[in-house]
Amino acid sequence: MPNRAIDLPQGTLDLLILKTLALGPQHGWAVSERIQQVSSEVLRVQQGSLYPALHRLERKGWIKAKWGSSENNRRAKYYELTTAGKKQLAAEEVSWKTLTDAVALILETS
Amino acid sequence: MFSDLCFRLRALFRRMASETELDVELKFHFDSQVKKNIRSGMTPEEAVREARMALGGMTQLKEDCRRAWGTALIEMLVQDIGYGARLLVRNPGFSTTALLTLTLGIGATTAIFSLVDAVLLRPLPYRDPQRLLEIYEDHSGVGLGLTYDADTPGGYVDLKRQTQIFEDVAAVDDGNAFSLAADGGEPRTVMDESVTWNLFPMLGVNPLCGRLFTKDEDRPGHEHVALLSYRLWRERFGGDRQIVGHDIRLDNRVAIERYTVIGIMPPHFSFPEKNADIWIPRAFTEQQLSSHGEHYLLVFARLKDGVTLGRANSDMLALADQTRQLYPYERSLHRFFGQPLQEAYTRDSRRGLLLLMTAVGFILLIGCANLANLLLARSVARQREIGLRATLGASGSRLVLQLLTESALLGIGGGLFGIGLAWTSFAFLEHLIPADLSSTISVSMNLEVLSFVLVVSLLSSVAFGLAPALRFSKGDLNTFLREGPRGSAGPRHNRLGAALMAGEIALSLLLLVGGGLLLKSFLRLRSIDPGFRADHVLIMGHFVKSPPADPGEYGERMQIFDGMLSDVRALPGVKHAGFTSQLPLGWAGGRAGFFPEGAAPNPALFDANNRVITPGYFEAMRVPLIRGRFFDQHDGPDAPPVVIINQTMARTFWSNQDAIGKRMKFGGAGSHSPWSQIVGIVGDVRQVDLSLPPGPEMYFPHWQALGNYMTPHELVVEVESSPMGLANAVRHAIHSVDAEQPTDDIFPLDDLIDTDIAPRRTQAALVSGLALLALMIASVGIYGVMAYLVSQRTQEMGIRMALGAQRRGVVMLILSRGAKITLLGVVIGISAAAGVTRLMQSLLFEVSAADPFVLVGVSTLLILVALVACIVPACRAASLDPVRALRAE
Repeated sequence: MPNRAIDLPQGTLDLLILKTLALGPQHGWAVSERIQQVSSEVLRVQQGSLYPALHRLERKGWIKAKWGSSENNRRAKYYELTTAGKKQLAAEEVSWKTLTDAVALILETS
Repeated sequence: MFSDLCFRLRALFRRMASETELDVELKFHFDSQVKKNIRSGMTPEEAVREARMALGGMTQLKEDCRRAWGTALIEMLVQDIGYGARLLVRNPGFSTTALLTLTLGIGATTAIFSLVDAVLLRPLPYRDPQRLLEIYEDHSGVGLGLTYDADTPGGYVDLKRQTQIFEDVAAVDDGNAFSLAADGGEPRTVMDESVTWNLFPMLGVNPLCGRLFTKDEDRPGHEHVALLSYRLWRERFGGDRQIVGHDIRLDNRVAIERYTVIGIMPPHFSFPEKNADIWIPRAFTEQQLSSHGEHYLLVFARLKDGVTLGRANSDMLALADQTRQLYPYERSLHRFFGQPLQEAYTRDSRRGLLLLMTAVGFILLIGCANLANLLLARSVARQREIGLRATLGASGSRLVLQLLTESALLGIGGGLFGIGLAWTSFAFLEHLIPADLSSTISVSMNLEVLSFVLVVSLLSSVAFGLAPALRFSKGDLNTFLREGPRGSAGPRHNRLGAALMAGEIALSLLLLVGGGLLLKSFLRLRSIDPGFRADHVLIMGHFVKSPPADPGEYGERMQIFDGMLSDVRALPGVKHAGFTSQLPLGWAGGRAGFFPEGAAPNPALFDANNRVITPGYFEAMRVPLIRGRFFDQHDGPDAPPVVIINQTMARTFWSNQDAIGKRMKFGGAGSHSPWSQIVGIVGDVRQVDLSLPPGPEMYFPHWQALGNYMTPHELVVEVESSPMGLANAVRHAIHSVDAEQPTDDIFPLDDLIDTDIAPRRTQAALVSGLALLALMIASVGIYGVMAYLVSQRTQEMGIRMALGAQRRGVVMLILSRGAKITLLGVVIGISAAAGVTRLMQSLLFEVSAADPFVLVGVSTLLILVALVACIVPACRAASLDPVRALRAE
């Protein structure tokens, strides 16, 4: 793995999972792969932390799980966004934007 | 929120499925990663290794996922419970001891609490029962000790006018008897409560069927109507609803009257006493309502909404002041006061119940102290296990929680068995319900009681489990691990153990003192001379109660009584026989005014117990004649009026002079009764209760008591052998004179004494029994603490003996330690007893709460038992083989 990969800041994993699932139902492995690909391998998602996060989001009702078969015909657990999850994603995107804008502003001005 | 709950529940209850799904999910991820790695050119071995590293520790990951399910807390609890249960099963000795102790403690506490709940806490089954009062006349100012006297009809009328404080006032002329005239069958006594019409609406009680009395039905001259009790209806009329609207014949031994049954009262309703069979309207005449001298009414009232008891009582004080102006002779020192109905019913039993509750609470505390000590001892043995678990990462709070869970398991177990124990005691507890409430309420297992058990179980678990558990949250792990199970528990544990033991001893001492005081009171009471002899006397009750007002009828009735007496006296084996209007030990009422000739017509009170008797009564009861003579057959209707008084009356009203030959009249100074000459002075008889000193008492002969509201009512027969052996012969003799007289109420006079002292006997027996139980539990506890102490100091003993200590010295060493703790406990107990037992004073009889005999006696007993409990471990310590003791780890 490239050296420039950084660990995910606390609390952002949920947002990334929700965003990834917004594209359509995925299983856990695909979510993990997707996050790394899209972030050009800059972000390193601890594979171990992905599953507790998925289960926690499922408990909160933002995503729901369904069993289906994978590309090579294996049983896999697919997650998809619920209506509540879509709302949550929108809200978190806004607050993330606000946060990063504010941080960027401070970094630029000082 | 809802989805959250569903998710957690599913995770919890479909545990296997969730686990499998987790496995499949993670395996899928793992395999995909391996495949990807192989594609990127790794060897299969490398690919697997790399995938494993990427995913991290599988066990840890799964645990994290499970935590995300939100079921961790519950699972932890389930784990702890399972672990605790396994531990308990593995230590059957400890578990059995603990469960037994808790079952006894919680069971006894629960049983007494259900009784307290039924009697004191649960509201009476009437409408807004907290606003219902019973109103008494207080005569305590007269020095007669009569705080709760019956009211007069005049007083009732006055109270009824107090509409600013009372919504309603009702009166009951209580405890009269009728004979339900036999239609072929045996005449049966029915207990009648004559009530004003408004009593039932005031209580808020409805009939099972039919209707209640109407406003006009308690006026003189109105048609006779009656309400039947459920019991009488079932027993006598087979539960036939057709009886409503029909007539029954009630014989008051003067005349037989027809009463129309208008309704049946519901089951369990009996007011104001437990054995009411029938209610009829009390039709007061104008003349009766103006009487302020005859105390025979029970008065009940409903407070107006918003009026407090204090306000009502102060208004009634003002009322008493007014009536004193109006009727100076009759009312001179009377005052009214109200008491909430539930309190009125329970005032004699409240203290006793609270005492019992305290006693069982102490037992539970002693049991908890015992268990805390046991657990402390065991916790030393568990140091290594706990230390290991702490080292492996269990947090302090997690360990405390685990240990408390174990205690709670014991507590809940004890609670469950305790419920069973309490349940089995209900039949017995029913006897402890105040008599007049016994048909109205019952002891039962209800939600309140069950919640109480739960709270008590959990509280006791914390009480005995917390101290041992906390030991581990603070301890140094290294010491735990290093020290073996035989290692010393340190001075902190020893001090705690000793304090618990001293506490147990102090509590046991308190209980023993309580039991001892009650026992001594009971023995004192039993040795009281009631003023009569109860042996060899047969009583037959329920002859006419209300006297006929018409002189002709009255004479007829007296003639019947004389006929009965001569027939009974003629029976072989009968020594004496007579009638009295009221048996001793039964009743606080029945007092009347009188006026001594020549006394100053000032409002000083002349008031005495009023009794009407026939010749033969004093002889049969063996009441001693002090001076003068008894009544005889010459004291007829036309003979000069005579009266016999008791010693207290002579001493109170004719002090320093001879009462014999003096004259007095029944009623107040202005009454029209004739002057009666005092012809005899008899010994005092305890009229109300064995524990109450006798008051002034006057006896009138039956032929001269026309106009007195008392009539001969109970037949007293002195016999040569067993009283009940003559019961049938007496019945026949009575029936040969009056076939309609019910003869079902027949009993030996001994029963009366028995009934009188039974509550105190039960109380003394219960508290003493509980105290002995406490002593037993405490001595087991003392033994446990001392045995543990010895086992801890085995090595020390070995060294001492190896260095030449005598066995005797070792015994003394252990004993002195035990004795110090015991004495500390006794000293604490005695100081506490001084405060606590003072609250018991009203339950005691002629025994001071600080009775030195009891205090010294129970302290000695307790010290002896404690020493025996110490001596066994001490001897075991002394018999140690020094070599083996030294080797013992």
